[in-house]
Amino acid sequence: MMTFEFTNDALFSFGVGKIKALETKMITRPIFDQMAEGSLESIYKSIAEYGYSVNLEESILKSKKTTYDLVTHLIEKKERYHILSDLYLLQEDCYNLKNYLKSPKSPVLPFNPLGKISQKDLQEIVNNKRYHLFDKMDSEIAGYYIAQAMERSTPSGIDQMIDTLFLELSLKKIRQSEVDYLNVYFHDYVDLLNIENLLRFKFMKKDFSYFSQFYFHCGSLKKRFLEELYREKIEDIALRFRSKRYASVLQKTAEAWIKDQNLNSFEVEKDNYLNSLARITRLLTFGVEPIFGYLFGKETEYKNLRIIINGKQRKLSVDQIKEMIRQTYV
Amino acid sequence: MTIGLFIAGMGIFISVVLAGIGSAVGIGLAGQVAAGVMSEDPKNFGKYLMLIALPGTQGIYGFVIGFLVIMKLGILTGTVPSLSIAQGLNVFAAAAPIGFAGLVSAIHQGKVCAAGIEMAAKQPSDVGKALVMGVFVEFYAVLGLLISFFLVWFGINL
Repeated sequence: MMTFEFTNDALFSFGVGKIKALETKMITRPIFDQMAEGSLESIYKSIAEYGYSVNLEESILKSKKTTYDLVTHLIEKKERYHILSDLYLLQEDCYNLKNYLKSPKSPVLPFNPLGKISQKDLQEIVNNKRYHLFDKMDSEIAGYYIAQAMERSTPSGIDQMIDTLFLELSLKKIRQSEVDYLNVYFHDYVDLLNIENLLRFKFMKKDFSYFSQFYFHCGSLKKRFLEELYREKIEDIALRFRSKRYASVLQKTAEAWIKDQNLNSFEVEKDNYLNSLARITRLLTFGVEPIFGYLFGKETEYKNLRIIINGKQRKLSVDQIKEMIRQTYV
Repeated sequence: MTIGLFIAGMGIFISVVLAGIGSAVGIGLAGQVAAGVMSEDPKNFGKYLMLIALPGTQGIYGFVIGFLVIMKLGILTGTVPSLSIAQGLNVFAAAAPIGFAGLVSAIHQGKVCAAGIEMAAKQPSDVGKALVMGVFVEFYAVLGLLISFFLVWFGINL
């Protein structure tokens, strides 16, 4: 198991202090539960207190921009951490890239202005293969995966290739920054994505070769190991991960599987595990990690707000919505 | 200047400068965290003030011992004493405890106070508990001060 040390860097004391004060303004689990029990009107009233409006996506966009600006400002004291704030932008750029690759003439989803690549540059990247516009330092990697995504052309193939591009570039930047915590977070994230795909395709009774197309090789789980798992029962797969940090995710999924032959709980458990990693940073007084923990925490907040509002609009029951709500950062 | 007097001077230097460095670092840590918290929540400045100031006491203790040594040596009266090496070492050993205890305790107290400010940012009513934790660290600086005080007051015979 990968071990890690926190940076414990006192250079970010101001930032950590600010984050601790901001944490008090985040939405807690009991508030989310209350929202799930209320009507849409009462939800809009509640979220207004936290700076979100009826137009949720627009207010999330605003909040994301504010959070990104804050994080960039707080970590600017150390140059090797600068690339980490780029991860945030990279995520938005990949979202735009996927959207554009899927339907270049009339993108289904609106262009996300949070990324650092403009709409015009995006067209240049895809149409004229000017991959250095995507990432100056790693234009080769970017070029390879964008070309692969265009070759695959199916929505799931494009998603897979661009997600791989995002994860590869992220892990490269994280290694350069030497922040162990983020390295562990992203490795576990990739591993869980691989396990999620493995369980999904196994459930769908697809061949291992099909799963192979969706395998992320930048994680710590080798393909041969996953091939072995593919032949095992879902309840037995959980036992193979007993020594992993994320063992509880598999254990709870296996329990749910035995109970009602359902794998839906994996996604919630995966997110809850990643949130628990983010929550660790709340216990730190110094270091750059609490700043990233807050960033992850805000993402969970957006996700929970979407779950509740979409759930209410789709007229799901309170229990169904509560089941889907992720463990909060505060 | 004799070597003995130089060594005694080093004792004064250590008590004042090391304890002062410790306090500066400690206040720096607590102060930066408090500034971060107050950038979002400016109304609680009064609550954090004691926690910011607490690591500053070691610097004062170091200064007090340094001043006592100067008085004991009679430097303020204008008569520079002639000290043997043994007497110089005697003064050095008397002044050193607060220097080292002050340096280490102030830095750690700064960390405790910084954590206390972060705790108080979430639960302002718990600021008293944070202060108590900081005072525990202070206890060891006070022990250093007492030892230096007794050694300077009773242990230096010129």
